[in-house]
Amino acid sequence: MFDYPILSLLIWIPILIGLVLILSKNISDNISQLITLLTSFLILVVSINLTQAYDHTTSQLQFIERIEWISGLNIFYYLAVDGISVSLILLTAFINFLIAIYASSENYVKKSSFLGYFLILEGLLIGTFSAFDSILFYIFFESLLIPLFLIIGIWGGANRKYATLKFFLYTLFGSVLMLISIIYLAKISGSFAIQDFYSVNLSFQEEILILLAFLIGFGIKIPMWPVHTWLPDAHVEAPTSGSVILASVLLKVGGYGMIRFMLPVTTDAGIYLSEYMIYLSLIAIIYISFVAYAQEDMKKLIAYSSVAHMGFVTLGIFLVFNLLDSNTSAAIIGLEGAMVQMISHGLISAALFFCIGIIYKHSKSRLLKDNYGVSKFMPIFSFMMIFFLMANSGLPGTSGFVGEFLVITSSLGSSFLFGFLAATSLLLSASYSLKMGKTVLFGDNLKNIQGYTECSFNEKIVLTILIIFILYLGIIPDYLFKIIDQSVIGIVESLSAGKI
Amino acid sequence: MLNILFIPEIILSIGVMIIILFDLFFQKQKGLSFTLVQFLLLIAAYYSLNNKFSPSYSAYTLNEFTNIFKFILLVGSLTIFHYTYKHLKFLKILKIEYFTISLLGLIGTMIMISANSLLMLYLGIELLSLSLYALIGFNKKSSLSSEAAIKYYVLGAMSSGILLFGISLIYGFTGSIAYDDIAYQLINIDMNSVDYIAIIFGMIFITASLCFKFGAAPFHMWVPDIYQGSLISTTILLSTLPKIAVFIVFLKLYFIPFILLREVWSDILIFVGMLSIVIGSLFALTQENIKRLLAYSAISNIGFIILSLGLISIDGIHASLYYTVVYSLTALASFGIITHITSNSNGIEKITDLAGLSKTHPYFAFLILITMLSSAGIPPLIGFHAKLMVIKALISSSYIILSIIVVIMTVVSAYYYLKVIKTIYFDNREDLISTYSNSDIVLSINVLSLIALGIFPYLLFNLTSYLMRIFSVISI
Repeated sequence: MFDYPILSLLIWIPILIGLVLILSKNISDNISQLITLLTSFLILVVSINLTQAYDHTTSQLQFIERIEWISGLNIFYYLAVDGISVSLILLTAFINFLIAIYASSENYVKKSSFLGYFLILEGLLIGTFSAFDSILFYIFFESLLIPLFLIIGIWGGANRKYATLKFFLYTLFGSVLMLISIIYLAKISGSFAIQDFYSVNLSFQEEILILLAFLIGFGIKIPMWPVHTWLPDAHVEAPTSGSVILASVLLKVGGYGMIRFMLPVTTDAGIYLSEYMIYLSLIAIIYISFVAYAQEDMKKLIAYSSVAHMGFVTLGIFLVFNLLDSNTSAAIIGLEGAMVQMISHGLISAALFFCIGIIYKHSKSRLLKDNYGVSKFMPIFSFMMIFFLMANSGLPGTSGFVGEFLVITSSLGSSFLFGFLAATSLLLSASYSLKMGKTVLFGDNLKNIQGYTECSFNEKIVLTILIIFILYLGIIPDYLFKIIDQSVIGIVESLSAGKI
Repeated sequence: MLNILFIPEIILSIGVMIIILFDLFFQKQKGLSFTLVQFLLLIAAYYSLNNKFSPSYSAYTLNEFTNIFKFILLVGSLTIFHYTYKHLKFLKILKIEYFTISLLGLIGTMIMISANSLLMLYLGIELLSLSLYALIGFNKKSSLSSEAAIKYYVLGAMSSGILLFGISLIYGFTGSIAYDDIAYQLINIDMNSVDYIAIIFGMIFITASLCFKFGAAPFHMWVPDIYQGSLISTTILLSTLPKIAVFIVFLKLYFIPFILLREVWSDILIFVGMLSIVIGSLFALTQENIKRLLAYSAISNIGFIILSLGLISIDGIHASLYYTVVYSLTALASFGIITHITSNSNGIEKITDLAGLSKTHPYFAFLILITMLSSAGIPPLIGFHAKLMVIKALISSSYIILSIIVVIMTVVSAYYYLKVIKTIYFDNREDLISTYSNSDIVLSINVLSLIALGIFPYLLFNLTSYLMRIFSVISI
């Protein structure tokens, strides 16, 4: 345990330094890079400390900070973590550190603001993962939109204005419905603390409506089919680092919200509707994989692949509803699979977006038809990229396999059909990933595209770190399981206890 | 009895006369006259919180509740005058009459707040309206300004007529114009009698007229035209001072004389509030002129205030109080920034005039970013807490469907606020915009308060809950 408010520090240090970077005039690029690197490194070190100090033998909340914030409304400044939060906080700090390394070799207009927005985003993300008062959670959840909106809007591609507005309004729409259900729950429970929501008595009809509000709110964020259309647009227009943070951490906020709110609060409604929600996830996995195969734009392809992979996350979460009555151990496996899939997708999608960014830098095009035969010019890079593509398709030995394997196992516990349909993804994701690898890396360079040079030192470092961790999680996922285990079991058990 | 000299209304009235005389003899000393105006406001603000005079008759009340709101009005006008002075100087139409007329309007708003009888209320409203007619037509060079003044005059006169008609109906059937007395008389009136229906009619006439002054739908038609036609400095005045005053009038009128008719006016207010929110949000979507956009945004904000008043719950009244303060603060900031920005040595008219502001003036761009996001209700800014309280009040009164419509409308309105941000941050323009100062301390404080109160919302929350407490003492 720490004798200082570690969570508040993790949240506010990056936000404050980010604000300073944005507001200060005439700060040179080098200094702002250095500040960003140091800050994100500090945050990474502190969050590693947090992970080590976290007691993973219990599902109790830890490092609690609870101060009355708005007394008349019963709103608290309430921060805490459990295993699920800790793993996502670590992912956030890790990815932000990589972005800081990557971005320092890039050139942007007004670079200090660019880096500042990323630091703010980091603080807000950690806040989202550690807030245990629903209004505080909502505030962080919603504030996330502002820096990302500006990152995509200011540094984005040609069609960025359309993409930013679409992205902002889509997510805002989802979250305001969620706000209504939060206030409604608070009206019944008399408190805004998330844990007090778990014990409220709702009529079945109310529960269905609240579940739908959460489903829309978090489903847009994660995103689920059919509300996923903002994601490809946002990805295509975002700068590389923006795509990385969007795919690897921001999408996880949706999954985190589902685990934190939907599972415990609306259990009965969830059990009633679980089949439909599972079908939605399966559509995301299968249909979106086909859509991904048809893409001509590399970023769109990976964006759709993200949607398909997040389908596994939602499938794992909704399987808990489905299996709660019959097979609790399979339910636990499903939820663990969802968690592992979130972390692993965080690493793999980040790596792929970095790769696309590197290719784009040379050829100034993200289209498959404009990029052929990169492997001739960039052999080391091509090796790394093909590794990430393999991981993306769920190759055993990489982290991509672990999550999908667990979710498929769990869905077999529910019905053979679900398991079979989910398992087709291994084939489908391999087909689009390998298609991209084949064309871009090993295609015949008929048009004689020149200008590719081996990637820079910073980029190599970033990609190597990612390879190490993807392999580490794929071969020895023990440490991650140790962190999340008790919390996942705690959630599932409290659900099944609440049911009886 | 000398104490009566030290109530802010008297101080202001005497001060205005002195300033008019001073300006007559020292035409060249505009800076000095303006300093006098500021000094006068400061004295009035001091005495608004420290007046020892308590009148013994019922037509006019001075108590802590009205004192705090008068203080808010005076500080608000001080800020507005600060923006106005620079703006008028830049446009080279600086005249001290502008400030003296505004001060008279300010006295009008204070009379409205303190009025405890319908006739006094009418006097306050007329004083305010007459000054506003003059202020709106102040820019003689612009035909839009004159058009706006005539439009507002004709409509305003009609609305005053309707107000008087309503007052005479109430007077005719209750025999009284004093607030407390009307409430007392209403107890004895049979629900099925003709008298009751006539009183309802009277109340509805008064409500319609006040909604006109408030700029709430369906009496909102004048708002965009008048906002567009008048100078931005007049628009700031229009969008803050009268709104606060009319809000207090609403609060006092419905919770003191008409409290027994609450079943009738509750539905009316909820309807008017919802309609304003919907119309304000939807019609703003297609606006290209920034003043018209902010006008529609004001309509939808007014809708939030009226809607939460119509809920007749403690939460609802508190939410409307809170929302009014937040709305005034945000309106002050957003119009205040626009007075500072100039395009081709004119004021800003179109939204596209703001394009590329973030490249040339990052400071002002940041201020607009904050105010727009706050207006859109995005946390962690103060606008979010205001909307949160309204939605919470709606849900605790079990208006779930209404709350869903309201939040969808906030998403719609977020679109046009974002459009402004998009223009500022993502668009480019060839001819550069300029500002007549690089930064402004009052403006910075005004905007930063939106952030600070957003992160520490309990500061404002404690103030409004204190106001709630003293208000409930007055009304019950």
